[in-house]
Amino acid sequence: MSTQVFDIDQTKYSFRDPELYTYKSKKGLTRDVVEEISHMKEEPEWMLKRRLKALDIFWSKPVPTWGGDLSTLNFNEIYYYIRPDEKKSTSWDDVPEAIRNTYEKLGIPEAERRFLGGVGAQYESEVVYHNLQKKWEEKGVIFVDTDTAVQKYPDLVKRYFGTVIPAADNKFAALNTAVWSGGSFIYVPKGVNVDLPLQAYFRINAENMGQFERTLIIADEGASVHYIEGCTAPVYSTNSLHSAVVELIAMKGAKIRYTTIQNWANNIYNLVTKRAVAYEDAAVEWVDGNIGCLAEGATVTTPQGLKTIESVQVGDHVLSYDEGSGQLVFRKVLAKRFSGHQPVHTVSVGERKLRVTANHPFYSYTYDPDAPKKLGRYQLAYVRADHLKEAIVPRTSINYGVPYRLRKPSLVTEFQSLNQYASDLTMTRARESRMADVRSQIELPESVEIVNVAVSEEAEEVVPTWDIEVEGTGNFVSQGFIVHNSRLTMKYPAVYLMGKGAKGETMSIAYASKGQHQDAGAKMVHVAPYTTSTITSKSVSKNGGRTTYRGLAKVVKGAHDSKISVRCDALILDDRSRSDTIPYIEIDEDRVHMAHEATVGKIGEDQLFYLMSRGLKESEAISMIVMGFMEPFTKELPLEYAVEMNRLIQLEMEGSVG
Amino acid sequence: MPEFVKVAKATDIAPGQVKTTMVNGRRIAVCNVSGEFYAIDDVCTHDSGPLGQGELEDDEIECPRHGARFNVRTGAVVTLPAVLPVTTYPVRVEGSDIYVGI
Repeated sequence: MSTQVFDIDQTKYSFRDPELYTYKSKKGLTRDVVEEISHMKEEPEWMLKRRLKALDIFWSKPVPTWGGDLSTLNFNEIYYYIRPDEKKSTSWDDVPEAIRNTYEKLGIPEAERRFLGGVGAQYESEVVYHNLQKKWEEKGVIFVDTDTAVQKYPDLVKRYFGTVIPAADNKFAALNTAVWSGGSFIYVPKGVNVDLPLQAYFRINAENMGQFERTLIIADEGASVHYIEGCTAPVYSTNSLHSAVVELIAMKGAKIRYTTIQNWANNIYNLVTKRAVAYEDAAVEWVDGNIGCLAEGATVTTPQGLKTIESVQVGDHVLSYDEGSGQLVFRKVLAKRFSGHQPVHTVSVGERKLRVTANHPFYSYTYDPDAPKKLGRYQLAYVRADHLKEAIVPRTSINYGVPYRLRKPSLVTEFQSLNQYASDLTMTRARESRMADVRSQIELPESVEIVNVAVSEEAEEVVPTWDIEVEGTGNFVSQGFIVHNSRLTMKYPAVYLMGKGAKGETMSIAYASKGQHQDAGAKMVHVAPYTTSTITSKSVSKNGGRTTYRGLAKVVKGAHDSKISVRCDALILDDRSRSDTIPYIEIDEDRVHMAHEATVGKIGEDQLFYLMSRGLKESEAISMIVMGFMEPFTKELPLEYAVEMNRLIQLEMEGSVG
Repeated sequence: MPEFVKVAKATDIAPGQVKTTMVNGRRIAVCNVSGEFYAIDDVCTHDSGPLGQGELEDDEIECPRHGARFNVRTGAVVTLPAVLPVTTYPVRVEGSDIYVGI
């Protein structure tokens, strides 16, 4: 099977700035360091007390051994506090130039002007910029960094800080409580609907730096808010630590959606505690990051006609390709994200052009010269744009916004001469015979066909880019190309369903190869009746890798008529690999609907049937489908991404981070 | 009617202090909140931590194990990770003796 994984050029996005700081604490963690942090922040006495108490708790608790390997993490080699600048700004002009340039590269000021309700930017330990649109401010929305909140809104902070995740909860929560700095504080008053996302960017620049932001989001009765966090760091030879605490409180009828775009280097330990409480009829959703992106202006097809990707709204339906049935279908858009300014490639066939980031996956096939011929060296899969040679496109004549004028629609099957369709199309004899091979081994459904594409070099200038997430199929048709959307990991986000009718939802995807152990899951605690929770976990292990789903679904006495749905799809690609599903289920109530579904490799019965009818064994067919399915992940997901380490992948910050 | 059992002398427990004791086979924590006495189970509802060994701050007690906090007057949860209230018991002070109703 094709296990091709493209090396990621770390230097591209791993730029680092010179370290010019107004203050850098001594290495290591002592009482003095904690007191100094508090002193420099001019904190009230009660916060210092909390910090010191948490420090004692941190020292008293052992390093957890149940998750990933943390033995190389040395707490004495870390800088716990680095202050990049004297003050916070509400205008980008006041942010020191070097730091401002970093965020300019990330496209954040631009994104703020265009579509965000508010932005926070944290550099090392301190927030350097924080701003909220006037309109929300007038409605009483608070969106400040957490340090400012301690000074300006002590009552709110005192009331909620640490009530969801107390310092003693675990060692890293204690560490965070002792040395926390920065993070976002959001309060949305009753009934206020913040319909533009609030976004925060966390950047670690210094080596051996520990970043410990503290985020607290409170949505009061009937309020709603969508918060997006993005994180990046350059790669250093030694480890840095990111240990955040995120507390969400959704009051009666409130809605919070929390999206993470983790973009850390592979030597960042990412040990984050995230927990939410949802009161009566409230809903909390933990969503994760994404991969490739499309340039602004790219069109997608909706039942009402064409729309540009930036104008698509969540809830719209877009044309998508169902790999199982081979049909084009309309599917709902679950999320939309602005992905900053990035350089793009142009993928074109004839007049049809699509501008995408280098890593955006296209529906195509891969070729594995080492695979036994009888199994087929080609398989349908998603291929990143800069490695794309042929694409699979819908055959229908729906209007994709660009003229669909291939002089001959069946470009491949009736291939005649080298430059028949486009001047920039070159094809060697070897390729020609390869394609004959494709035809014999891949039979495409009627609805699609293979065409040659030309992929341009990366453009010099950067353009705004977007991505959307599509329900079910995970792909969509843009300008007549089938492209994938993507979702990445969350670790163990938890939701406590405290009030009648509350809802919680999490999703995680784990991938483990040689020497890795991916441990992910979710925790749902039903405290009140008529509450609903959904946990979705997908994992793939191969080459001796190991994945673990570890989830807790708990229903306490009194939480009758609760509904829990846990779905674990584990895929094991060879007999050396391993997957464990460890569902902890504690139910202390009689009337509960609990569904636990665990599958191994059952994706698309008809696909399986099709492949097996071509002479593949079931296991081979499964692997083939899985690889195709997971290809965007195998390519984009860091292989060193053991449970607590997130690799800085080519993500929306790509290009801008280089 | 609960049976009242003598658990301590009022002078044994200073304000802000907690005393744990066994009453009829149950572990009980008696708390002095500014001169008023409250009795709760000495077992945290989250993970059975020894609640009575936790810190009492005004009328809130914090489990030393995972930081769950309870209001000792009502038993209500103030801070996760506990979600269920802790059992409270009526307290009577007669003379210098404290009685807990089981």
